[in-house]
Amino acid sequence: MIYFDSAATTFQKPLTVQNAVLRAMRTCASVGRGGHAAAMAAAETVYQCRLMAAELFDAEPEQVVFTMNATHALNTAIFSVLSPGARVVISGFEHNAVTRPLHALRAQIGVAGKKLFDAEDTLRDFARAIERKPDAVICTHVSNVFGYVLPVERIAALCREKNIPFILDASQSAGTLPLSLRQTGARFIAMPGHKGLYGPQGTGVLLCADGGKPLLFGGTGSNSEDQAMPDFLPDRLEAGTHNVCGLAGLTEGMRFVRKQTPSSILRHEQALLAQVKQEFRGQENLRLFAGEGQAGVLSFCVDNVDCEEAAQALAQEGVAVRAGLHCAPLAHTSAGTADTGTVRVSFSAFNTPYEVRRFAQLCKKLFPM
Amino acid sequence: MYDYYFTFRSVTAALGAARALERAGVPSATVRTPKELRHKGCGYSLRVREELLPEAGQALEAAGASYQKLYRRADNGSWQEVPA
Repeated sequence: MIYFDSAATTFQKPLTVQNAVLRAMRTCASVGRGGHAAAMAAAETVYQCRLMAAELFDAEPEQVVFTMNATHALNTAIFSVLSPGARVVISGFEHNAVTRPLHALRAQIGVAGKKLFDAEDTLRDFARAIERKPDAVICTHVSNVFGYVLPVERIAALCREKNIPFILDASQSAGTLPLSLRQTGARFIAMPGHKGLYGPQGTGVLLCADGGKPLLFGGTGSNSEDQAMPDFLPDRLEAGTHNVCGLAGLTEGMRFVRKQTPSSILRHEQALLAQVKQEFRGQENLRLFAGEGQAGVLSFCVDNVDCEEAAQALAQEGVAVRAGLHCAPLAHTSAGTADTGTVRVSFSAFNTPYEVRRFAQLCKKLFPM
Repeated sequence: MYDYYFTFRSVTAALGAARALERAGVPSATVRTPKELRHKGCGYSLRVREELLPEAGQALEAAGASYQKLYRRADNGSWQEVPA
């Protein structure tokens, strides 16, 4: 299979990730639930993952909270910062993981920055919106549909100036773009463990500048006599048993990223993306959504072919891509593709130029001009 | 000879402090906090031998690893809090 759906999850994982999951399953019990060897092995395993994430994202280990996925992390962040009816500014490229919790809160949502691949326009729009002093700003780092890299460092700086809580969705950037909790001054940064960090599905990370409100209540292995959740991180936001095996894998995934370096993984993905553009040159029935500084995600439409049918045709030839709205209808509305959807290809460190060439050959065969 | 127990609010804090001691070359054991020392229920402590107490205290302070309290356990099993 040629797997080009890494924006959903990286399917190919380093062997070290697989081995770590198996090792944890054989040696680890529950974190904070005892002093015996298996409980302490679990505690060490999870702490190692916390330490690795803290180093990779410039945070303190206690600021690293483990979640089930980025959606869980974003929900925790959003419900920590916003009350029902709050005013919030988001980008025009947010995922349902952001917009659905906001709708559940009946938040007053202002959308800033709807032009694809135009960072200056996005920034101007955010600057105007932030002048109206919203209760929070939420922005994705990279559009999961189009690979557009939003100017989040400068948006974060605007928020710092006005003392407005900033939540960063790093679902598509963790592992490829620089991320620092300390430098952005973000209140929260949310990310999955199973995409660019190459961990197993069921892992996510929420970086917390300072506290947060729990979504889940229950055992933490600390302050057990108190019926309130602990008032300190990470315990406050980590009720229940950890995904120890998943986090063991995530540690190795992050070790892989650190060894390869995020910038070299990004360069590799961008080179593959450039190759797609080159291969599709002259193929006028294919409309590519491409722009400056794009991350390793690319959407396209095929003239007179439904995007789901196009993806299905590719699947039958052994190419995994994703079609439709990608759980981001707002992004498609901003880009003018809400009616058609798009076909999306997204890369990882494991993809090769040969795979791109084969994919392009198949596209030309399946979707002739 | 006494054992000393640094108590921590969470296993994360205890393991962070254990790493600081390890870096300083001070052996310690991460253990469940004994019932008599618990503040609000379960927790974890670092157990350090008496002769290493000064180095342990310095290493924790240098690392900014804040513990809750420090206790001394006598040979007869009694506990005494050691003022900071």
